[in-house]
Amino acid sequence: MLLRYRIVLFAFMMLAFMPTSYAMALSPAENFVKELTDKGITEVVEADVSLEEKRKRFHDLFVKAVDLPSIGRFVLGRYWRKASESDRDGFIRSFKDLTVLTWSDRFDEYSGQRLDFLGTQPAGKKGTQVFVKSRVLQSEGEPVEVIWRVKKKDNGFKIIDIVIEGASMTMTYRNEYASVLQNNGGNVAALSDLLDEKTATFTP
Amino acid sequence: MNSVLFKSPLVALFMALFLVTGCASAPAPTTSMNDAALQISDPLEPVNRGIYVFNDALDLFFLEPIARGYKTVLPEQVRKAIHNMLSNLNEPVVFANDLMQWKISDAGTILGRFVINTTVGIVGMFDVAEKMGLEPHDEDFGQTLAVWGVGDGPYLMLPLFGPSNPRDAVGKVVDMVLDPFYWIVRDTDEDTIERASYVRTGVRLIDKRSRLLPVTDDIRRTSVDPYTTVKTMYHQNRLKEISDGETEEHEVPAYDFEFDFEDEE
Repeated sequence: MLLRYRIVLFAFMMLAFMPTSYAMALSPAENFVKELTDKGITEVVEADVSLEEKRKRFHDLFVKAVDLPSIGRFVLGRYWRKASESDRDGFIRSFKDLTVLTWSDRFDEYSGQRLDFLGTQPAGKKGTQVFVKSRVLQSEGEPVEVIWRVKKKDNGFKIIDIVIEGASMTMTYRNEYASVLQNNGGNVAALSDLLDEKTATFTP
Repeated sequence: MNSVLFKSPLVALFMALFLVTGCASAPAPTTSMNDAALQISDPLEPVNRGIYVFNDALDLFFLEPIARGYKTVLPEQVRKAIHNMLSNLNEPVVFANDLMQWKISDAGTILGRFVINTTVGIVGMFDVAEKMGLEPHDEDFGQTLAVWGVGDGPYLMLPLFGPSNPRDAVGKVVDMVLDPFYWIVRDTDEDTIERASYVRTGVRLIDKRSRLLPVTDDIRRTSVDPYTTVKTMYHQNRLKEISDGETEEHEVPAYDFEFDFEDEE
């Protein structure tokens, strides 16, 4: 059935990074992803702290590394333009909370998978974005292809998308949310409430 | 017994769907990326949604618990050996599709893998070939049709089989008859062989389902419209599988849509 795309879980992603064991010249964008995932592994996933503390640490890492306003704008599409400032903020908060919890819940499935970097490729037309290509070596089955879309910002980079086995995370959210918004008259606040309901199902 | 399946209405259904809808796949929408990034044709959405609910209930009460139990009861090494055997058994089909897509070197890799893993790897239990540099890959007839230029047609949620489209549904049927074991089972009077083929089908299903658990768990927990999530993921994942080894340097992958289009400069 669904087999070929054990895609989703960005969570699953976060479980999957490890420093490559050999020294290799990485581009600045690759370095950004590598440092981020290394940090995620050592300071969050493998850290000997409570789940609560892990969630907190991951939240801080996530907020720093991910360009949430860009993602919010993209996943809401045309509904973003019509939404009020407070609805936009509310959506970003709900989206962030749910994503952080989902990923955090997957950390104990991490079992030392390695992340290999396979080069970069320009993304979009503006020349400010890059795809960082990588693959996660699994203990069984074919490696999982993970492509990080990063954007140059200030002095560094921010993540704006993760593409797992061809499925873009933001595109998937965009379609999912558009379907809900089409049926509720474009009510972004109601969509945020739905996300909050999902968030509430996670154990505190 | 398996021959019954092939002559069954199921096949007729696939063929009918193909004839009705597959050849008439709509041209790519010309709306701007900004407004309609990744549009997926789904004219049958109300019916598809109904079938999705049915599949999901069936999954929730039968397949998912079985897959979870399978993962709990069997150690990873055993599941890995089972998965390797199943992949090995499927490699003749991959080989045929490689040839039909004129991927000669890939076909050679698969042939080498099959010979080595069937013998040295003990009926495919151990992927010895991979350690020798012969990496596994997957091809199916749905992908072959795509490479031949056949469009996918409208999204279809098939009862029991899950997300698909006319092209991939036809592909599934063709893959079945491309499988030499299908013909072996068809022409045998041996009960053991027949039973083995049922076991294979069943275990294959459980293996696939168990490997999807992380994905489906997250969809269940976080998606506010699982139907659309599954559809979008299936569509993108198939695009990726089809373009594997095909994408030219200048070609833009499906996930390279314009990101900053709304109000940012």
